[in-house]
Amino acid sequence: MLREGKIGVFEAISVITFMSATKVLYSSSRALVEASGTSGWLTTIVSGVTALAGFYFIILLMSRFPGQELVSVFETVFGRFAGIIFSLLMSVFFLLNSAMFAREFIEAVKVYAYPLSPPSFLLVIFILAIITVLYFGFECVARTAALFAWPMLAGLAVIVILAVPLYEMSNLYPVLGHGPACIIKTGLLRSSVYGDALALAVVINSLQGSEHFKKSGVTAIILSTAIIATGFLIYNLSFPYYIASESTIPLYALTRSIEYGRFFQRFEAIFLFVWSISGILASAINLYFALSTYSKVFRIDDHRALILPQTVIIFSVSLIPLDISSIAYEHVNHIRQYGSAIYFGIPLLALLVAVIRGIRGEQAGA
Amino acid sequence: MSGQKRQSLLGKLISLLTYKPVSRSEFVLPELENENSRRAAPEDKSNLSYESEDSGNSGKEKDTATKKPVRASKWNRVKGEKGHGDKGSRPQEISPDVDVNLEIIKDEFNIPTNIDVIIREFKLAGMVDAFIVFIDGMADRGVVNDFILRQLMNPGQFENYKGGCVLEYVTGNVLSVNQAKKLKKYEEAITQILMGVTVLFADRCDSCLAIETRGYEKRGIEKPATEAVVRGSQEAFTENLKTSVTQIRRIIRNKDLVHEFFLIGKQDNSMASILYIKGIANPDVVKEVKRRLASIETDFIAGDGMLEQFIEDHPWMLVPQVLTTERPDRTAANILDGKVAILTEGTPFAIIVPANFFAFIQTPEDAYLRWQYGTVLRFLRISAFFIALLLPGIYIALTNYHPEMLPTDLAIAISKSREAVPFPSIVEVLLMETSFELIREAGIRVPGLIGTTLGIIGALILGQAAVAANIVSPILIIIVAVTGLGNFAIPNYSLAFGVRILRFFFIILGGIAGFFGISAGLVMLVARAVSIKSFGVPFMAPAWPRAGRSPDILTRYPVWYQEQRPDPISPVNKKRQPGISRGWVKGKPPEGKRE
Repeated sequence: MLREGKIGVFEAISVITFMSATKVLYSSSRALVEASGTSGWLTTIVSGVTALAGFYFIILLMSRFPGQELVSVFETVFGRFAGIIFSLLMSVFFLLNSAMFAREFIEAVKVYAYPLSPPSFLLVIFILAIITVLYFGFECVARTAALFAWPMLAGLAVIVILAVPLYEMSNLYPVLGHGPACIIKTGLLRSSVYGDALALAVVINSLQGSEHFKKSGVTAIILSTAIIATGFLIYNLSFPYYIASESTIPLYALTRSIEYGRFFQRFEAIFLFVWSISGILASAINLYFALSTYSKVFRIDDHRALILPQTVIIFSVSLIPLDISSIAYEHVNHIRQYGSAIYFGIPLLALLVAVIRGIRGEQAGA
Repeated sequence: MSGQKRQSLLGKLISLLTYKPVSRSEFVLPELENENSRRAAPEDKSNLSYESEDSGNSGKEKDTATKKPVRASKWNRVKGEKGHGDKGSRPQEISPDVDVNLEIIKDEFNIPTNIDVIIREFKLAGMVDAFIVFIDGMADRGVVNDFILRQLMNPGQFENYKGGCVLEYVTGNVLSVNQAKKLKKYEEAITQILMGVTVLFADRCDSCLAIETRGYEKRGIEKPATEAVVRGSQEAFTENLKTSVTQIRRIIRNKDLVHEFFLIGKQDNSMASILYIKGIANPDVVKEVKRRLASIETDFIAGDGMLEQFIEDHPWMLVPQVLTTERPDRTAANILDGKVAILTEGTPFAIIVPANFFAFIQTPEDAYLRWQYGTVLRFLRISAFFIALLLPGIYIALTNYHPEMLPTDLAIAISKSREAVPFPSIVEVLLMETSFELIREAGIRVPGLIGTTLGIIGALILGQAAVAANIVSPILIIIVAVTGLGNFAIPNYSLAFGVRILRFFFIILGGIAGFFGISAGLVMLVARAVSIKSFGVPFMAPAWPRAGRSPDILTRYPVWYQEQRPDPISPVNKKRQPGISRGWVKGKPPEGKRE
């Protein structure tokens, strides 16, 4: 059995928040600006609320099977074969997320900071950092995320504060953007942004009880929603819609515009630390969950044996998209729009099957 | 060694790429049963065992099998003696025949080749054959002459002696020294002699008497050399183990302060002591310390630096995992927190375990100063840590990858200063950093005042000459100097050393991938730091993982606010003081003395 250690609530929240909130730093947020206009921040709140509802079903599912993690629950509910298929689907999805984070990050830094560096070179450094984090296990992943949580939050807070002179209330109008229907539709479609909380169910035995699971998941979704909504709000406040929809990496473009007198200008490079560390951790965490799910499916005792092969896959998959446009409009967009089916659809299906067939966990029935 | 084949180069290369199953023999500190009740001390502390489960498996006992065999003639004589052990190839138990004992002792100490081991033969009360053994220079000659020999050779002292083993009578009626202990084994006697004790053997006694006479030359107590403070105690440990233990006992006047003793080096019989407070220290930590000390099998341990390398959890890490201090007050404070102190003979330092990262950026002065000052100093030190670690790397990254971040005036100033320098900035930085390290190393090796002078003059002249020769730019001199200052501000020597090495790692990362490279390096460093442990306690605790409320990590809250002992080390008694430790704030001043 995979030994994953124990983590606390703060570490669990940090892990999920890095998975979810990091998305605001990259190209996919541009798609949301285009889809919902000036109401991106409202749309993402709708997504957050939808994700909370989805997570409620995950809580219900897991509470029927105390002491069992998600892979084991799927096997109990769907049977060994179907359970493995669903678990592997989840594992592949985490892997895909990890690869897309890697590529999005590489494209972002290539556009803004390293135009001459080949993407594969940047990717090698990125992946070396991921390997190091993963090598020492889940406790290390969670603690590293917890350690960087405050500096990353502080970095975002600094951006929010320093961008104050750029804020123009009129940029936010019309407040409802393309209309309430668009907000609700887009919000529901993109709820997968916060679906990462499902990952906690994969490592539920590392959390200290089901209360910690609920608390960590709900807090992480709320915190991620707050971070992403704030990101969209300040971006919409700073740029008129017609400019806002043109930036490749919206928040990075915002940091470039910050200036205070002659001395403090163009210091967006400082925020490169926030971008890099968040990107590496988000990708590493996703990959860990892919490894963990895979290991549990095939009863592999030590995830370390899988790190090198999986990172090779990440490296190859992340180089498949042609350019940043195809990443933002095709790959990542599809992940965001159809990810809900994996994050919430499969657990919901499992819950329905469990309720209909009256299946409960051994400890719950005791 | 038998059966192990030397790996070929190809084999080693293949082993680097081959998967190896995880080894899980790491010591993990289990939580105590009363973990949830932080304020509760255990009702009955007596049942807590501080004995190592495998303490019988000590290096010293194993050692006996490898000792030199005795001569055949002696062996034949001794073999016939009743009660003599047969362990190994020489007798263990002391013989009632004083001649056998004399021969064995002479043989063990290589007498007469060995000139500083003194054997003085005489007749006790003019009738019992006896001899004393001591090492010249280790034992106090005055005590030996005036309080041992004079009394043992005075027949008047033996008027009431009724026969039998004379040692009982000697202990009770003749000797006027403060410590005399009967020993049954040669090995114990030899160890005591090596420590400066005088041992008396007498005929018809199957034991010997170890008489306390230690009195060798030693350095007096002096001021701390590396942990000086403006306020607070001004005394440091000395090389003498007994003095050091006494210094701690003078601070902690507590009957539960336990002092245990270990012999470690096989050849040099190095002494190590562990100190902890029974009822506060976690028994599992104490057992683990004892287990590690007892398991060491080596020829020679020259003090705490070598011992540290034998007992630390992760020898390949650049950061230290045990705290070393030369201050008795700091050691005492840590013992009172529930940690274990290890003292060694020969070096004026104590090792404190378990240790975490935050202990390495704290100084004893933090506690002596008011909390605001202590907190500011800690933040200054943590800034120094990051400056020492990252500044040259950041400079390289800025000049090579992110010049847009520099304000125009500054960018022009840097460009102008670098105009005539033919090297890329990374070569400049590596050149200067290496020179700086050279000056520092040379300054330490050159004795006394010349060393200090060499450091200052070397830095000034070398820096000035390098700028004049257009080898480096002036701004780089500032960067290297500030980095050096940052490094010196790190209070722990081992951590500062680790940072010196890690700095080069970040210079290279900054050189090849700018801020992104440095970020990747930071993630790697943090991942490693959060995954290591010191005696079962996570290195980055109590912050990562979070362990209890701790008002003494970076921000040092007032001393009266620090109600709990550090939670990560799981002390048996977590409560340091009550919620309101300043009783006077509850009461009111007397009538007429109030505003």
